[in-house]
Amino acid sequence: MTSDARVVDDAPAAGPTVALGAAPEKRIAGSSRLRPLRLTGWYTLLTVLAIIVLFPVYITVVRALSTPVAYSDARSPLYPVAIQWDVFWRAATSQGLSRALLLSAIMTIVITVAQLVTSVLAAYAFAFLEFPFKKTLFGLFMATLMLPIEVTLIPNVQTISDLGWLNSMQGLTVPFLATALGTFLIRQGFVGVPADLRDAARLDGYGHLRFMWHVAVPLARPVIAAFTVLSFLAAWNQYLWPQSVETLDNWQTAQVALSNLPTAEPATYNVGVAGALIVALPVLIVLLVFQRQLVRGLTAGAVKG
Amino acid sequence: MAGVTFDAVTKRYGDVTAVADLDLTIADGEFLVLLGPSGCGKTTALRMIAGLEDITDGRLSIGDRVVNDVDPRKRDVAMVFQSYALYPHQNVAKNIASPLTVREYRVDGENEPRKLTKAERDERIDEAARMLGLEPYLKRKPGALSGGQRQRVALARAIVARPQVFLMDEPLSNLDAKLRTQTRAELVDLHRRVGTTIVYVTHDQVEAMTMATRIAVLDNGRLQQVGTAEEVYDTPANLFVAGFIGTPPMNTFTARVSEDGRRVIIGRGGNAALGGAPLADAAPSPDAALTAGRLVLDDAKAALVRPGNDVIVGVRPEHLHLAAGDDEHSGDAISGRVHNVEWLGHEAVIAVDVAGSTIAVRQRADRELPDVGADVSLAPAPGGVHLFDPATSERLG
Amino acid sequence: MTAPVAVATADTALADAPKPKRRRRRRYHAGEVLAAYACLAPSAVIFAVFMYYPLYQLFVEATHQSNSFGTKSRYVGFGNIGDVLGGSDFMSGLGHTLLYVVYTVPAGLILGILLAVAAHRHLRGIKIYQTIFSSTVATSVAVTSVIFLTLINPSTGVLKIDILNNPDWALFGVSWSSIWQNIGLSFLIVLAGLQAIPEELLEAATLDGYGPVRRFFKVTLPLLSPVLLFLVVVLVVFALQSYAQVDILTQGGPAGATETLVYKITQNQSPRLMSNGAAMSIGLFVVTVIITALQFGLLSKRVNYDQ
Repeated sequence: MTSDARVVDDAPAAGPTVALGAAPEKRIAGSSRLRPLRLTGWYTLLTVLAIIVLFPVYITVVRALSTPVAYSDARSPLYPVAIQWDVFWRAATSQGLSRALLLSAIMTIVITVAQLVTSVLAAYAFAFLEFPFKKTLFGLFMATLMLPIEVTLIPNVQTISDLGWLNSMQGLTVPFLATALGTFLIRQGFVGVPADLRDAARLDGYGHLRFMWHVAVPLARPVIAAFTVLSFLAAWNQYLWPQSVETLDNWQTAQVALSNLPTAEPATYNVGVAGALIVALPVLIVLLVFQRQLVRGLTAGAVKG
Repeated sequence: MAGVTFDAVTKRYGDVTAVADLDLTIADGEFLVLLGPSGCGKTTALRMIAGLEDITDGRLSIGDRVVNDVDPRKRDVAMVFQSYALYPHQNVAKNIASPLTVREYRVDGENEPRKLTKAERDERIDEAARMLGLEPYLKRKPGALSGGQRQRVALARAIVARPQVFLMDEPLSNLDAKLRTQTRAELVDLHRRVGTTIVYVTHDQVEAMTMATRIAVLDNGRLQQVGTAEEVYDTPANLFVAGFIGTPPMNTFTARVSEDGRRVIIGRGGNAALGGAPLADAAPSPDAALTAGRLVLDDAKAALVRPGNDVIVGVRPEHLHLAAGDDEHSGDAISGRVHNVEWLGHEAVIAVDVAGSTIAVRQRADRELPDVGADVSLAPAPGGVHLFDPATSERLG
Repeated sequence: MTAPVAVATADTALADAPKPKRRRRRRYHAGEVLAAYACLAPSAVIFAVFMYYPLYQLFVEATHQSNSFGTKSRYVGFGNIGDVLGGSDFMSGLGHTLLYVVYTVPAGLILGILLAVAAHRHLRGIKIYQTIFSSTVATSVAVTSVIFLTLINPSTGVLKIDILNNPDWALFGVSWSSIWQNIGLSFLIVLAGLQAIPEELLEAATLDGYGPVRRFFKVTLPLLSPVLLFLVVVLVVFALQSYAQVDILTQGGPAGATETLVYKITQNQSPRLMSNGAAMSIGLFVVTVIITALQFGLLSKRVNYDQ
């Protein structure tokens, strides 16, 4: 049949014309009758792309499982060689990595919780309260986004060093106890709280804390949850700052510990690689579990803003 | 210009059937309204004409051409979407022009369709802009227009394509009441001037009644009735159509034909639409405990039923009047108690409690209004009684 | 301190009104103001100590030369900043960094659009593909670098391309890790943008006679432009801040060919080199601000915002 295809069949790599992939809508335009050839074409393309995207991770797993010397002798093939199944266990229980994971965990939790608290408070003030210099202060808060740790590194290392906080949890966490991004995002969420609700709470005699805890935060929960996830990610994944304030070999957070890999003994290379995969795990799990909340939280913020 | 024919057209999404076995012939030049509640399949049917949904079974033709597999771009239709679907990043002039830039058109006197020249495009755009009063807004973007203006831009965009069929998907639903009334008249006027077939989807029966040459009523994917406004109003084909068309809706009662076959006894808890139960005993006694009253059947209606049959009786609010005590058929009336009186200036709508449910009676405002709580007798106007088969919900006669 | 939501009377407000008021007619309620400042204080302190104070300190350090032990420093003037920023060290760092932007941003943009368009359709199992495409957001720069170490490391890599040892192309090789890592974020951002485009708009375009390609360029892309601008800004910032990937993959080599600005800054932390490092930090700051402003300025015009 050479007649022209229906509109949905025409949708190639350009011009999405079908319903949102996220939530199937009532109008599933003709999906039930996509011709098999077109269908396989799409699936093929998508699968190829998926393989390309996953390839680096696949190779990493291959390297983690393979005995290093045997692997390089076999000229680095695409499949595992002389598999050591216990490599992940060995990596996880190795002194270095387990300590590093613990340090990272503590650091991440402290930073995440702290950023949550400071951001909610600051966002509350900007969203619901009137006070002098409000606009200026907001500007100053937002301006800090232009001063990332990459720029302020040298003086901050100096400060931490002077405080005697090198190789300490304080040194790792204190500079990051607050972030303007959190203030911004959560403020957006708070701004979406209907004014009527605020008036009603006022008439009911709610104080700030009560209103914040019982009304504002629950209503802004999607954004707050999304921010928490982002905060967690950023803290766990940090590299530059932890490396800068960690000077002892036995005091390394997980990401920094990975930098030992290039100079590690070839014979234990696979353990190091396995360690890297383990380090990536917490974030992966958090993202998978909170996928929906994350998307909802961020898009809700965008729509209301 | 062409008509549209649905020949046993069905649309299924997996297990769900949106349109079931639709047979409908839309004549060339008609203003046909697809009317029904949400989810009845009317929008799906419209989108099938456009080619935005494909057809599971059956044949759809535009004019003489079977278009089941024809690309929407080549069907020579134009659509006005419910949300108007204007390109927000382009100004009004560009929006109106957009069907003309790529598609090919059959120009008068030529055999083959071709792309239009700039002059031809401009001419059509000017014509449409003039027709809809959009000249002052041509340079504006949709974001800077009011709802009514946006709607007219959407209309203009459809007009310039000079299609064989106009498709409109609830175009008035986003307008406020006053604008809606005004635009209704404008659309009818447009149809008269341009003469193209219009297929129009709405859930608002007032729009249907005032604009359509014919109305096709759908429910649950099935065509219930197609006919002129008079036809669907005066002779509804089933209970659904009877209840859907007309405001306030037709009053319906469960009833049983009397022993002499010339009356129907109205049961308690009567309103059939609310699931009233049939009578246990059909004795034609004015026993208030069992019945709500009786209505006389004219000869034509009486011929359709047999004594003892269960029927559903429908009477429109304007076909009931408060019977005075000395009315000739005073024995054959429905008794009830006035629940509420709404005086609307030109008429009054009286809510009457009859046998457990509330029905509506319309009467002219210059007639005396009853008091709330008064006991009244209601009698039908001649020919105002409709009968329906309780098993099939279909009209008898 | 819990200050009740103050429905303050005029008296209280007048009595406690904080003094330095610009001539605004707004009345501030003392309790509210106090509560506000209390809420802002924690964040403000952190920002002041670890962001604004360092900014000041950078200028101090950049204008003073210290000895190797950090015990003595002397003022050398603002000219020093200029000297460092004009010097070959900073310039090469800047060059590498800007090159990194060129390598990673267009690729990130195109890949994001490609994947998002491919995966924005209603097919069974599409969510699996969407999850796969977005998965790279879960990786940190360090982890990604290790992943690519297994791929392109000169001695142990799987892909037998000796790119990291090649002075001319090492940076490009490093950028592959960033390009890959950015895929997830680009995909998610562009997908969200695509999902925000009303379907009816594309249906209208179809009825107007537009084929899929035309629909993409005339409808989809313009409506995506705000999202794409945001993505570009984000990707550029990531590139300007590149460090960990260099540290793990090449340690700046070969022969400094992959030393980005941040890397150079970390190389200039010792007391004697601190003034260089500080000056370069200021340089990084200025470059970031300028580039971000430029993006908003230039590209904003090409972005279609529908109001």
